[in-house]
Amino acid sequence: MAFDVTLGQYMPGDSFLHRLDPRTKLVMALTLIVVLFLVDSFIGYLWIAGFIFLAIINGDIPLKSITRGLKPLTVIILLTVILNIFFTEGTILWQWGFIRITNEGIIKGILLGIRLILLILSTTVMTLTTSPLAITDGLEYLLSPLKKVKFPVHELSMMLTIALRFIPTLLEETEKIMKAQMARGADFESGNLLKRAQNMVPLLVPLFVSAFRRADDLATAMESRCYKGGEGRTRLNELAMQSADYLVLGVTLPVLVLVVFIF
Amino acid sequence: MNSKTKTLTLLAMLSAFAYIVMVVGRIPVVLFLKYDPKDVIITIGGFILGPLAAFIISLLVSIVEMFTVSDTGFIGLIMNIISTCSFACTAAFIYKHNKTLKGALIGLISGGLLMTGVMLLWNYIITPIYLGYPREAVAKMLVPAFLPFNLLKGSLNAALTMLLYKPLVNSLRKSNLYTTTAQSGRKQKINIGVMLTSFLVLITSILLVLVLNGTI
Repeated sequence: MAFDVTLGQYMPGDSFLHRLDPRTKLVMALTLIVVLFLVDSFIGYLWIAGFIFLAIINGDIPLKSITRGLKPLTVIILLTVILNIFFTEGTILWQWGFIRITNEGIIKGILLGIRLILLILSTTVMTLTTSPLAITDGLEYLLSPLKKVKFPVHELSMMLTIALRFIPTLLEETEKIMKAQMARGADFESGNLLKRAQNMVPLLVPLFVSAFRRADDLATAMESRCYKGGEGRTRLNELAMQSADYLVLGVTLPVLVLVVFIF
Repeated sequence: MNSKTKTLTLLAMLSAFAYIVMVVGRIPVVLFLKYDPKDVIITIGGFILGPLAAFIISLLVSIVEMFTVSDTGFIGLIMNIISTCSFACTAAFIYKHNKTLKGALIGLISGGLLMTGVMLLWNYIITPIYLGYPREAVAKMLVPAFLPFNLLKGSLNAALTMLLYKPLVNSLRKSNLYTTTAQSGRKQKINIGVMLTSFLVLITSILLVLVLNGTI
């Protein structure tokens, strides 16, 4: 029994989008989401869809990974469209009992369905082309102004990095302990919910203890290498904005703002 | 040994652990509502290290979740943090001031109830904005879908936490890991934890007043 956890949807590559600074991509994704909530017309969505399409082409993203990202949401998207079609007031096109379909309802349903798809795509495109570690780095840089108000930006991103680093390790350990307990006759897959939960105790307790022990060891290792917080710490890979980043930001941000105001 | 680094690595480790538990034990219930037992780990972390730790772990896990397995993006992130915090932070806060079995029980129960209330309200407000469902439709869904889901989630989390906490602390004590980490820089952290929780409660109650007045 192996857990398939590909950490993140990240697909390594060397496309234009992959090489962009993570900060640029974070800012873009956030702006797209904000813009999507402000715009509510077909033409506005068309512009945004155009942007995302350009990003997909520049990122060498195969169509398959995009449809795979959308698949679990089919039900929600359909439900959104259907609920809106049936529950919006307006000119009645068709009525049967209390169920009625209105003109406005159809338009609103389709609009919101498109918006939902675009919302998901704008985050997916970023996570497909940026590794979780790069995103963490980008976040630390972007949030660094918050250090002024004593918000522990460095500590948070350090913890995020450690967590990302140790998820595969702990997962491997989970599997090992699970197999060890199963070899001793433990049963994780039958019984009702409470019974199953009870059976998880001999699995979770050793894992917890091991997480504590690893944390201890790691702290010792970090301190013996003179880790003392974010102040004056240097990095192996500094993030540096390239001219491409400025170009992308300089072109897209004004256009997106215009889209908001016009549509 | 500097206890700050130790707290830092411990919180990171617990976040990684909570993430794994979330991935392994994730069960979709209805629509975009999913049950996962990560709150249990976060609550236990909160019992051991205090309510602020619970907040930090839930923040970290939610961020990692957002750019790995989640399909609800930034809004899922915010809802996730709110939901976990209202459960774990409340439970950890009450337990902190009353470190007995009774305190733990009261904390968990009130955490579960608070989470249910908070999530009902936030779902009522966010879902129409996010999915564009008309508000009346969401209001109709509140009682049959969101209420039982959150109650079930709360009670399951509470039961699992009670089940796990004692054997866990015992084995931590046995391996000499508990005592060293239990007291770490608590003095100044209390204020931030209280501030965050009260901030959350404040926003929720403002929204509640707005909803009751019929503005939203």
